[in-house]
Amino acid sequence: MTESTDQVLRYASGGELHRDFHASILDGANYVRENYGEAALREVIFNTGTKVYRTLHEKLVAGDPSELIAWWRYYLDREGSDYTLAETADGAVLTVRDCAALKHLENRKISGGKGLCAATRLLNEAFCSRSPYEIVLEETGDRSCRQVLRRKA
Amino acid sequence: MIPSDHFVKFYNEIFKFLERKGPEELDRYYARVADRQAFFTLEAFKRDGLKGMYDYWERIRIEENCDMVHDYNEVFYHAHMNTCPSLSKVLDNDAEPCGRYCDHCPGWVGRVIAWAGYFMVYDLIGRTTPQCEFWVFKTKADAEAKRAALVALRGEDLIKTNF
Repeated sequence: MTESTDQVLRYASGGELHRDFHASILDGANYVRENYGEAALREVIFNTGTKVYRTLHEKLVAGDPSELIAWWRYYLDREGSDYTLAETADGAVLTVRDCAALKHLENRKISGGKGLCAATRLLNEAFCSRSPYEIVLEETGDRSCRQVLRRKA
Repeated sequence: MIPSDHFVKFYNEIFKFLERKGPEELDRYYARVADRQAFFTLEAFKRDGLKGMYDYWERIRIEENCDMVHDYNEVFYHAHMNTCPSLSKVLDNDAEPCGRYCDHCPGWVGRVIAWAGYFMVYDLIGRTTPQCEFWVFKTKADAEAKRAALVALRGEDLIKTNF
């Protein structure tokens, strides 16, 4: 176990998984955007990133990415994503080779899964707001991406 | 990625946003959720009736880690949530819970049950207590009798129906 996974997560869920909630997240985001606009979705996800994940966000603001790195590792493992996570001098590089959420939507024949990637970008922005960090997300394939956590230039 | 474990905390943020827009906006969203949940449930509810409902909530009991008991007979399906994992997660949260969080459940379940041709009576018990109970009846008369008994016990606000 690395130093990052030793960090205490505010929410470390256990037990079984209800993967259909990925479809619910996608549809909830789509519903808010379709009915109230992009700014509304940004507001909802901003509140999620800064209030629900208050401790993770506040650590980033203080220059400490440890909870975000631990959160990535814990939930990507728990969901069964194929990924690597490398800590760097000023952050981390998350390389997702096969995203468990997108895979589940495909298995369920639910289209528009890339909406989850757009929501992830907004969540990353919320996490990093008022912090010295940014997360650059590059989609590298149908179910793959690279997310670079780094200090802002 | 928002983990599937944390969907309900995101859901709670959507509810608070919609509640600020007006209570009717929450109800409009429940209709959308019902439409989407029908994708996962309606065919089985129509085909298998009360057993189809049991099978669906048995999967939910396991996947969502619910502390619940449920069963069905010739007259009704019944579920009693001893500890609701959804509201429990929303209460164990650094963000504020939506005061009407519990209402989403009868909000979507009732619609899908009605589309399947059945009658739901839902006892929220309390909106800050992670417990609830609901029945699905084949006949409206049986559902009305259950509703009347529950309203006498708890009052109108906590008892939801789809008829």
